[in-house]
Amino acid sequence: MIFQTPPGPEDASLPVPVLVVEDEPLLQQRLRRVLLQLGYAEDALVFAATLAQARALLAAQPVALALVDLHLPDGNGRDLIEQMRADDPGLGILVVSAWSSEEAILGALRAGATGYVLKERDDIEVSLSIRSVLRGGAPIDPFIARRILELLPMPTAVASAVEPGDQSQALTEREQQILRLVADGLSNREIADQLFLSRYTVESHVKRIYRKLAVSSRISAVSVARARGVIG
Amino acid sequence: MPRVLAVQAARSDDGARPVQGWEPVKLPDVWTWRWPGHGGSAWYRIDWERSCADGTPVALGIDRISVAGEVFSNGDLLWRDASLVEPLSRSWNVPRWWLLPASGLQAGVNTVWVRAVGPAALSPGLGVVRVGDPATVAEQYDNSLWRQRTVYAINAVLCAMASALFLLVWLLRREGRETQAYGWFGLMALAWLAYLSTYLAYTQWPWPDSISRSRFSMVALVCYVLFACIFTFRFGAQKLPRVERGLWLLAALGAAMAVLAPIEDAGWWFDVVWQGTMAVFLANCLQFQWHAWRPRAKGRRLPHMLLAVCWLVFLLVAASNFFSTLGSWQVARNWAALSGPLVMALVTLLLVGLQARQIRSAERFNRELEQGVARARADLAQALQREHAQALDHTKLQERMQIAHDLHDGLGGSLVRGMALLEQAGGTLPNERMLSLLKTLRDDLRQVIDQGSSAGAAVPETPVQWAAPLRHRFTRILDELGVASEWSIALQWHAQHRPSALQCLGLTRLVEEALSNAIKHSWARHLRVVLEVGADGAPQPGMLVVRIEDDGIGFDVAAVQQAGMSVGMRSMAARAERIGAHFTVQSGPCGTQVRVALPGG
Repeated sequence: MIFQTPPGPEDASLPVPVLVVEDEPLLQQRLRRVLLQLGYAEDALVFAATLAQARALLAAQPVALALVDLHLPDGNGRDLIEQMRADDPGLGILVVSAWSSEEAILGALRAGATGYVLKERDDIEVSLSIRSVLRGGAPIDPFIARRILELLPMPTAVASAVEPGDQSQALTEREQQILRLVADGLSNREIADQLFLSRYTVESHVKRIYRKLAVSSRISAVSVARARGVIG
Repeated sequence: MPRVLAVQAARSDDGARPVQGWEPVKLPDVWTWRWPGHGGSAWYRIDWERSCADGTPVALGIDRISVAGEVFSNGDLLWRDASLVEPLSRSWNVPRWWLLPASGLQAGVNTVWVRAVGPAALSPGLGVVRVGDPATVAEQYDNSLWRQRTVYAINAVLCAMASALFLLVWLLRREGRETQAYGWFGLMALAWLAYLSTYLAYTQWPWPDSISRSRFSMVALVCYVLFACIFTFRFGAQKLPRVERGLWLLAALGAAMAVLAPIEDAGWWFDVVWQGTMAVFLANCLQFQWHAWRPRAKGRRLPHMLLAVCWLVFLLVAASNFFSTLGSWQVARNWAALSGPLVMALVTLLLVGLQARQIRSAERFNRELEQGVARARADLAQALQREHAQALDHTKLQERMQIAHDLHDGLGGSLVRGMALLEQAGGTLPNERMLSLLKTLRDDLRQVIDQGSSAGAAVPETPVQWAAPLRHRFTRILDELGVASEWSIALQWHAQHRPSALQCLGLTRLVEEALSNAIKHSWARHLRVVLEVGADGAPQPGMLVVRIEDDGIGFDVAAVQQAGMSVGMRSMAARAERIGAHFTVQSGPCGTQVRVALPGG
């Protein structure tokens, strides 16, 4: 498929600098091109080919946005995502990976990623995901939405029966509604129209859902994953 | 107190009380010691004196009258056996006592007359006679009764039980030397029971006379000793075939002697048989002591030692009796009294031994069974593991074949088309077309992977779920491109006609390609994706129809098909064919409609 990449920056105040962690030079070039098309200047982009390089760069200067590959020569990008998320809770982290397994995707989201896009997608889709993250949203797709609905606890009518910790990870009514619509394939715009919300509100809901997933994974990563058969 | 003054005896040839020939005797008396060969009747006269002529009653007690007899007090008949001619009643081991009628007693000396009747061979005579106050006599009678009858009765019952028990055990389980020992023990007890009847029977029945009965008793005794010896050999696991043969011969000889002994000398013959038998028995008891107690490499065996102790008791009793003055017949009598407890001891011993052996063998069997089961289980587990591994390998191989097949069908088809396109283009294919080709290959590869993944293996619950990934992806792109999109997806599959997982994936790829083409070529402003499921009332129930409609510039379908230039069209048609769907394209200036119809069932 060939799509025209949408023209120009939509916002003059793009967060800088952007860290790109990708070991394949050709794909580095591709992401550079996509980012330049989004309006970034060449000097706002920092590239790392390994986890070690990325850590060195992060130690030198904080970044405002990170595009991370999972399969890196010296380890799994998930560890880096965890570290970045711990350092900066508000950082936008988009995973750009060739791995499409449920384990890889949910693992990255649990570690704290803001979104996930497959490398094999066309430039326009990668670009859309980056823009979504830049807007403060979080890219999501029906498959992930369905899994999250299964993984996270539902709010219970009898609040006292549930521990406070559980309640904080439980999905709100609104979040469930949004996840169900995402699972049915509706775009954020369609969801916003249907629920009489702004598109921005929908995206922040999704972001909050991801945070709950990350929190729940930190609290009970092993038990939840076991119960759902994600690992072991 | 009454006092016995004198005891005298006299032979009687016709049974009448003799007038002459009275000789003083000492009770108990066997008259053949004095008058050898005399059979028939003899009279005993016991003179006694009342101490004073008061009215105190006086009692008379007699331990035995051999073989039968009658009793008079001063000429008055006091008591008489039922039969004083052959077959004689048997009073030889029956104690009795009477109150002497006061009217027949005189002051001073009174006389008790006892007539005893018996053949010479059977030790005829009179046992102890007591004259005294009733209480004392009755008490002594009780003692005699216990020693002469009750003890034998108890022994007889025990012997009968042991005999029945062991013969039964032997009958039920005849194999094995040890079980043979039980059989011999049962026979031994039976023989002893027969011998004991001599002590207990009141009449000669079923024998015609007392001599026949005695012959039978002797045979029973011979059998008893023979069986006791063989039992000892079997129980002690002694292998003495020659001795056994010899014993059988001796026993046959003894039995023959007992049966054939002439009546005149029967007593002598019986004595010979009796002493020979006892000698054999004692010899056996002695030899077993050696067998049981001598030191052995494997250690002495407890059952053997216990049996040896039993036999030792018999030996000691016999020895003490031989050296006492009571006479040899007392030996048999004490043995008879002993045999009961000893039999019981042996019974217990044997049963315990048997039980212990059975428990041991049961335990051994259980252990072996356990080991066998464990071994079988291990074998089975191994076999199952092997089978499982084979099945796994087989499945893996099939899976690999399937993937290879899918690659060939999907990716291979696209590759062949791409190669054909490159060849026909003659080196002038634009970059864009090249890229498009590669992307098709990439998407096909993605489909192969999806087919192998868990998500691809299952049919989505509803058409909405099936369409959701497509809808999500393309709505985002179309939104970005400013193309309005509308999705109209049926809420449920047809109840009976669900598409297969493969069909779902095929449909996904078809719709993906159709949408990509529309985005690339149509310049449409509106796009519509429709999925309809044929209701039951419809002409084709279960028919699944997917339509992708746009309002773009359209194209000449026939021209494209003839030119064969469109990779996308060909690939879509091929995909539809593979999932058994009908594929049509209509296009005109007002737009294009791609229709895929999957017949139900």
